[in-house]
Amino acid sequence: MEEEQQWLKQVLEGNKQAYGHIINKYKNPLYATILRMTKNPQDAEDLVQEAFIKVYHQLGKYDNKGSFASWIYRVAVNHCMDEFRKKRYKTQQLEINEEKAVNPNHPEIIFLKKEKHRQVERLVASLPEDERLVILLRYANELSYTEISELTGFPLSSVRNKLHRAKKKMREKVILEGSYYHELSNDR
Amino acid sequence: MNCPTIDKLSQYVDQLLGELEMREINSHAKECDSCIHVIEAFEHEQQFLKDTLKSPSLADDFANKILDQLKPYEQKSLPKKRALSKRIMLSAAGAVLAIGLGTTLNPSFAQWIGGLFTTDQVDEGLRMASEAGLATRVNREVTDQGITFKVEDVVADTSRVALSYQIIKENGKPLDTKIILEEPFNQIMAFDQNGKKIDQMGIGWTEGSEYGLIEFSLREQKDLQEMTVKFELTELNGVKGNWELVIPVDLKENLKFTAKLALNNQTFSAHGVDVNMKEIQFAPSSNELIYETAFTKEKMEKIKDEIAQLEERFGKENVQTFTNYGTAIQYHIENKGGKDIYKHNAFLPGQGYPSDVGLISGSGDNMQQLGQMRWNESFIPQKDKEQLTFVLDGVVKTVPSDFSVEITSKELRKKPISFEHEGNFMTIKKAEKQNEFSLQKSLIPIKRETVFQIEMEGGKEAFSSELGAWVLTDNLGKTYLAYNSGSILNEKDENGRFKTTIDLKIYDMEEVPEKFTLHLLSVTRYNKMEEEWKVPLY
Repeated sequence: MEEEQQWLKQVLEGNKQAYGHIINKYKNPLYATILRMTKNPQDAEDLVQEAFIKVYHQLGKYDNKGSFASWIYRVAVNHCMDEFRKKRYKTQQLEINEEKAVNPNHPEIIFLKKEKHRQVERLVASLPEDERLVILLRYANELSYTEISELTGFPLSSVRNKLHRAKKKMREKVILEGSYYHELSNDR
Repeated sequence: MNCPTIDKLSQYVDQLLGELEMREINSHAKECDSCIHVIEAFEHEQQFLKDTLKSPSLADDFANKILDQLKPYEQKSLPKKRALSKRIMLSAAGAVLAIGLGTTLNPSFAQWIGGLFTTDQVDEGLRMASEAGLATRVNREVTDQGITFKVEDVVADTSRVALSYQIIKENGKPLDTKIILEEPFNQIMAFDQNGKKIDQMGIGWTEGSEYGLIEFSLREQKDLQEMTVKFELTELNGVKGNWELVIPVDLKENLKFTAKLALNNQTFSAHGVDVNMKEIQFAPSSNELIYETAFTKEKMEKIKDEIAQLEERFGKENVQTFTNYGTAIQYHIENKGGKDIYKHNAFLPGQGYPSDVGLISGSGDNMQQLGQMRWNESFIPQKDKEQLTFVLDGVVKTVPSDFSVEITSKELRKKPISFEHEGNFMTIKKAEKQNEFSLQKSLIPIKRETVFQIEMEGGKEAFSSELGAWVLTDNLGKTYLAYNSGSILNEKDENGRFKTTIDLKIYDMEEVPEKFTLHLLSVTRYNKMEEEWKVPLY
C-alpha cells in the first residue's frame, strides 16, 4: 500500500512513468472483468485503456479517504460499464463463443480451453449482468462486499444476495449437467 | 447444533453471514466431517473461480500504450484555467508562417527545472529535440526599469531555432510574456553568418504563462552555420525601457543530426495541377517536406483569361485583393505498414474542411508564375525511424468564378434568399447597415464606421468547393470589395451538410442600394485522385 501511495505521489509530481506500476497492478483483473461483461476482447481492451486514461486524469481527485484500490476500481469499472451499456447493441449482436471471445493463440489463456474453465466461463456468461458483475468484482478483483456496494451502488445486502444467488444458479446448472460439482449434490 | 444447510455453508465460505452464525458454523465444522467436506469443496470451488476469472492477461506493453497517450502531471496545481493560445504571424512577403504555443493548462513554471522545451507547451518536435540533447541553457538576461528580459533555453537544428524567454519583475515574479512587435519599438531579428536577415519568425505567447517562445524557421536557408538573434525591446509589460540582447547560435554541430533526401523533381499532373517533389529533411525537431505546385500550362492560360475578364468588370485591385488564385495538394505520408502518419489538407472523418494530422507548420511561397507555389511543410518527427512514403490524395485549385446572386433589399426584408453553388446551399438571411467601432491601435481616436453587412447561413457538402472572395456591385455599376469572415463547422445540419456561415462586410458604402449583385470571384475546388501517386521518402 505504501508503495502504491509512493507511485501516486510520483505521478502527481510529474513522473508519468510511475503510473505504469499502477496500470500493471490493476490491468489484468480489470480486463478480466470487463472482458466478461462485454464478451468482446477488443472492446474490453479499448475500454480498459480508456478507463486508465480517465483514472489518470482524475488522480488529483483521489482524496485518500477510501482505499486507492477501491477508488481506482470505482472510476474504471464505472467508466467501462457506462460505455458498455452505451454499446450494448453491439455486444448483443455478437454471439459469444469462448473460442472467439478470447484469443486462443494467446499463450496466457491457452489453459482456458480446458473443459472445467470453459464450463465456468459459460456459467458466468449465462448470469444476469448484475450478478455477473458482482461475481467478477469479488473473484477476479477480490473486492470486499462494502467496496462492491460502493462501486455498483447496490445496497450491501443486495451485493451479498446477488453473489449467493449467482453461485447457486451456477451450481444448479452444473448439477443438471451432471459434472464438476457433483460431490456437493447430496441434499440436506 | 444440527448440520447447517448447504446454502448456509456456501454463505459461510463466502463470509456472507453475521458474526454469530459464522462463529457457530465454525465451531460445528470442527467436529463434523461431513460439513468440513462441503466447506472444503466450496473453498476449492471458490479458488477455482478466482483462478479462472482472473485470466486472461493483457500484453506486457499495455501500460506503455497508455503512457504514450498521457502528458505528465504538472508539478504544482494552479487554479484550472484554460489558457488561450495566441498566434502572431510575421512573415516574409508572400509567405505564410504560423507557430503557436499549445493550448494547455498553465502549469507553474517556477519549478520546471527542465525549462519550457521539456513541457507540453511546445510542440512534440521541440520536446524530442530537447530530449535528444539539442537544448542549450543560455540564461542570458538584460535588466532595465526593474524588469529583466531573460532568454533561458535555445533549441536549434537545421529546421528551426527556438528560444524560450521570460519577463521577470525585480522581486523575481514572472510577468506575462506577451511582446508586441511593432516597428520601430520592439524588434526581434536574426541574421546568418553573413549578416543576411532571416525573415521567417514567429512568437508564441500563452495567456498567463511565465514563458514565451520565439521561433525562427530555417526553411531553405542554405549553408547556415551560425545565427545571431538580436532583441531590441523598448516596451515590456507596459513599461518603457531599453532591453538589448544578442544570442549567438552555433548550428555547425547540429548539422550532423539532419538527414536530407533529394526527391529528384519527381512530377505528376492531375486535374490541371502539376506537382514537383523537391526534398525531404529529417531533423531532430521536425520532418520537412519541400515540393512545388503549379497550374498546368493549359489550365494557366485559361485562368489568366478568366482573371482578365473579371478585372475588366470589377477592377484590378478588387480582383487581386482576396482571391489568392493558386494551387495546393492533399496528401498523406504513410509508414511501411501502410499506416497514415501525417495528413495534409485532408478531409478527416466527420470534418467539413480540410485539415492536417501531425503538422507542426507549413508555408507556401508564391513563385514567379500565377498559382505556382513552393511549399514547405514540417511534421512531428517519428521516434522510430521507418521508411515513409508520400501518397498524393488530391489536388486543390483556387480559380476564378463567374457565379453571382442578385438581391433586392425589399424582397430580402420579406423573406431570405437561397442559392446553391458547387455543393454550398446558402441562405442570405439579412443585409443591413450597421455601426462598428474601429479600435485602431494608433493615435487616431476610436472611429465610428458604418458597414453594410450581409449574413448568410447554410450547409456545405463534404468535399464540395469553398466559396472564396466576393465583390458587390450596385445598380449604378459601382463595385465594392467584400471582407469575408465565414466559418465551416464540424457540425452537420438536418440535410447532412456541414454548417456554414458567410458574413460579408462592405465599407464605404454611402447608401444601401435597393438592388445589388454579389459576385463570387474565386472558388477553391478539390479533386480526389482517381489513382494514388506514391513517392518513396527513403
